[in-house]
Amino acid sequence: MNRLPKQSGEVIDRSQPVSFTWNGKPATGYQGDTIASAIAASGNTIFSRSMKYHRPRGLLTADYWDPNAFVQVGDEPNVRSGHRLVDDGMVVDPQNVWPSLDYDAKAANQLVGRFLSPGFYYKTFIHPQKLWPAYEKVLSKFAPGGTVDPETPHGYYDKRYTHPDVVVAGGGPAGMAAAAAAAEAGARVLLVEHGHHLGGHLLWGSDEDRALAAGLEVAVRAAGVEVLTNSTVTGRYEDNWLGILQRSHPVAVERLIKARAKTLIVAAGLIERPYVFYGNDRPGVMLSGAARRLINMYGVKPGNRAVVFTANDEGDATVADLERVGVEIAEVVDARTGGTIHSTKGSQKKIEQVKVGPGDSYVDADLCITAVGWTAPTSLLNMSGDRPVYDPAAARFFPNNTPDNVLVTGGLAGDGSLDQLVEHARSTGTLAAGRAAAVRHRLQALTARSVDATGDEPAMPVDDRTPLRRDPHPELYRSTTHGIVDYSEDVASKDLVSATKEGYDSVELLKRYTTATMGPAQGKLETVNTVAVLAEARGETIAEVGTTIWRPPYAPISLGALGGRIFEPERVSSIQPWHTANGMTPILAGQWIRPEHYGDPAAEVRNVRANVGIIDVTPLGKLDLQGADVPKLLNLLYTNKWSKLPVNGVRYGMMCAEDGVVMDDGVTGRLGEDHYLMTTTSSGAGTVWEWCENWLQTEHPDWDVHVTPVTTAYTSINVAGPKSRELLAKLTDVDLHPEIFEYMQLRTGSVAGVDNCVMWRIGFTGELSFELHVPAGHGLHVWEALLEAGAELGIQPFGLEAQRIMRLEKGHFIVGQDTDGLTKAPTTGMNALIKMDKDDFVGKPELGWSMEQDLPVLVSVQMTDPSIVPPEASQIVRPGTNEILGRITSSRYSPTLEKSIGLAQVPPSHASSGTELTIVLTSGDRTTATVIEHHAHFDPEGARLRA
Amino acid sequence: MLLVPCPHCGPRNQSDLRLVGESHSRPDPNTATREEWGSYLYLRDNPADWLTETWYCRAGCRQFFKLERNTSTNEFRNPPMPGDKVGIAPYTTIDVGSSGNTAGANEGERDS
Repeated sequence: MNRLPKQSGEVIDRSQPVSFTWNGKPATGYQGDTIASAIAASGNTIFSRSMKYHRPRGLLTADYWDPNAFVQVGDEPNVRSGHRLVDDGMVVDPQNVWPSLDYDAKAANQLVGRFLSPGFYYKTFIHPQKLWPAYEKVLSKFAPGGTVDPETPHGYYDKRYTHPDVVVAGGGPAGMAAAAAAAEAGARVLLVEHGHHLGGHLLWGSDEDRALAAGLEVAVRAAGVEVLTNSTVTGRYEDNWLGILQRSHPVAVERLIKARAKTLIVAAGLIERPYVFYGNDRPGVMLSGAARRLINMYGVKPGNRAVVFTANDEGDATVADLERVGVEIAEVVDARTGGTIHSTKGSQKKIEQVKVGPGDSYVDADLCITAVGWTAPTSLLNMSGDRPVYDPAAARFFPNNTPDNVLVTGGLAGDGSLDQLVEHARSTGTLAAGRAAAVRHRLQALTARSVDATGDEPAMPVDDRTPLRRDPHPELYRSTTHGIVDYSEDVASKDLVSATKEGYDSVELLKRYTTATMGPAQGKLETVNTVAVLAEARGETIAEVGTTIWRPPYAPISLGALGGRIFEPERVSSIQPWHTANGMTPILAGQWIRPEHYGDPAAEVRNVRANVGIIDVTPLGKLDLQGADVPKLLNLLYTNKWSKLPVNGVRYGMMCAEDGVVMDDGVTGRLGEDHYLMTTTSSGAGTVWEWCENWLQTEHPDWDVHVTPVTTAYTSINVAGPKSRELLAKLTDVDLHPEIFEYMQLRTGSVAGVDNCVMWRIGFTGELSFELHVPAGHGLHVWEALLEAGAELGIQPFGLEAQRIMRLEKGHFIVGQDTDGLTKAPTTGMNALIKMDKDDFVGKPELGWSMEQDLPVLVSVQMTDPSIVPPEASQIVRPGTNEILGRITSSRYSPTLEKSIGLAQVPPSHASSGTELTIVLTSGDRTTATVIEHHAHFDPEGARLRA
Repeated sequence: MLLVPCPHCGPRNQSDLRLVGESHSRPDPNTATREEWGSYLYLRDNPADWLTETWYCRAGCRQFFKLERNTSTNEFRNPPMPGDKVGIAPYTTIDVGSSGNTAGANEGERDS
């Protein structure tokens, strides 16, 4: 056991022991332990095997970014054990090991390591292409990472939207001071801390450090700052749109917060950087921060005899911490006075000696601590447009040019005493609050109707903060030997050198070729070392080589959090309960769930043709149009004429865009002098509404037209079949006599006791039919009344499939099915509906020109073999060749004709009646079809619908 | 995600609106040459500078309006005041089935 006696700053609760399993064996820890600290406390030093060479790995940073501490927890892979808190009953296992953590057969990879040069997989497995599936099967066994269990239940994830004045990223001393100052200046502040506790590096510091942190936290709470711990600002986008991942929500597994901040303060602190030398990935080599976290926060002794390589105060403080808890200090190697470490020696599983210089002596040790400086995690600044600049004197990057609404403080901004850092942070918070007020005023001023448009805009407060100084720090990246640069991707410095020699000598190319910085640590530990090795290989400086641009996310976001709760509305008509209770097979059409059929669509067709059927057509788009200028709007949007449509008349119309492409079609009826009801395709309902508004608001704001969408205000039922008049006569007071209520007319009246129903005589199915638009609350009642009254007439409901068969029998096209985004109106054969003598309509000039072009023609076809129904989109080719002439746009077996029928788009040369077409089937076989004379396969004269 | 100043609804996320595109004018359909009409349909200036755009507040007030945006910096200026003439052309082409439907966009139906 490596658990120390109680430490004054520990965050564990020793009165709350926790039991879990690690690698199949029972283990214990305390509440507040991370999984890693609990495992380390139990005396384990090996946490994982490396990705490529399967080398044993131990703790390196002992925090969220530790590249060696990924574990499987139950069914959850890739858990960061340096961050995740241990819980009672957790089942924790190592991943990427086979057969076991202690003996890993794939470690043989390191014996053939010379083959695993950068690009090895690309170069080795590229030929022959036909073996790719076989390669994939083998290689996937070598892929790192945990195990995904497809049976894992979906967790509950959530989203939140918020509009704070100031968001502070980072809850260390600077972040806390800035948040408190901003809130005290009147701003609404959200403070986001990546770790489980506020305090940053003070958490593993001295008692005085922790007292300061506690005082700052009191100030934060007193100022009313909203604090989120175990949460990360993952991205900054345009206008300070921030993604914040909250892992600490009491109910949701994770919650994605989308915050629109007026000012963002970046106080992300600094991340300690590893040192590159031979053997730097042996268990026992760790960073000074890891040792201090283990000792001071978790009461864990990191080793027994240590070599400490230090270049800064943090390294010096580590020596003191180690001595205090009884770790023998074998040697302190001070980089500031010319000391260095060259390599480690030992077994794969632990270090035994460290070779130190000058003098090149070997020192016995089981712990090698390095403190060689920091990486500035400038991610959020990169995302704000900043390109940080390298300062060789301080051996790190600094912000260069941030926008007005992004401010930087803390270690990212510079160095100083804690008092100086806090003072800088407080002035940053005050500045942020002032700028947030200015941004708020500017946003209000851009909105004409908002308050305070007359007030003076406050000037954007200028930045008059006293800048932090930059302490000198030696540049320490690679020692005299080569070692691992990217621990998570198993990329060594000599790999980077050889890739540079191969020509991958720009940082962005080198990164992609070697995958350095592309693992789970995402550059937080390895970017600057990668750049430094590249600079060395090119014989240039780090500033000359430049660095990669950090992009979102700062820390990984699970797909669950991105998805959040699913808000995908489903729409149903008021008749839905009946459909469900009566054996409907549903189909999803856009957002609508509707009956495709009730068991046998062919029987439904035959019954409509012989008796009477009813179909729920509620999804049909419906727009209520009122005003004196409605005919002008209809004349503009449809290609045909509407000025003379009488009251009680209905008319079919086709809409095109300005490029002449068919956009929508439908029937519009005139209910009264200034009152019309327009129907659109089901999928076009929203588009056509917007289209109407577009023309009314931009070109014709003077027109008196009011458009109201009423799609769901009516339940729509089509009553179709030779007996439909007989059926309706039982239920309505409207005179249905064929010479009184003619084809293409409408009536309003009562149906089954429901007043204000709209009824129009049209015939999409080709039969005598009446389309009823019933106030939605009474839809189900009317449907059931029709079924009851129609029982003796042989009534049956029919679904979408039967309707599509019947419309195809009639040769009626469907916009978007038989037309596409290139189909201009003349293709549909409806040139008679394109009235070029109108003064204006949408697409007029284009349609005029297109009528003179050889556009494809929509034709009806019948397959030679009635048993073959070619799939929709089957190609039509020139016989004996593969030259594509056109395609089948719709096809069905017609139960009425007992034939295979379809619609097709073909060139004019193949559009005349009797032309034989060659169709390629999915199997590659070919079949033939014949173009027929009319669009309608059935009743081309339309006698049935006019009956 | 841009914060767009809708003159009626206030600052709104870009996803609440549709960027209709560069504002332009509609030629007289009865006298336009093929070149003029083709330019109206397809050609835009697309400057890296201040640009007058048409926006549609589809999830809010459902109004079309003009707005000046600097395409290099994404700053906005001169939002319209209530009562201002819109003075822009409607958009010219439209995707079939662009009403937000995905699956089943072809499941439209028609009566004739």
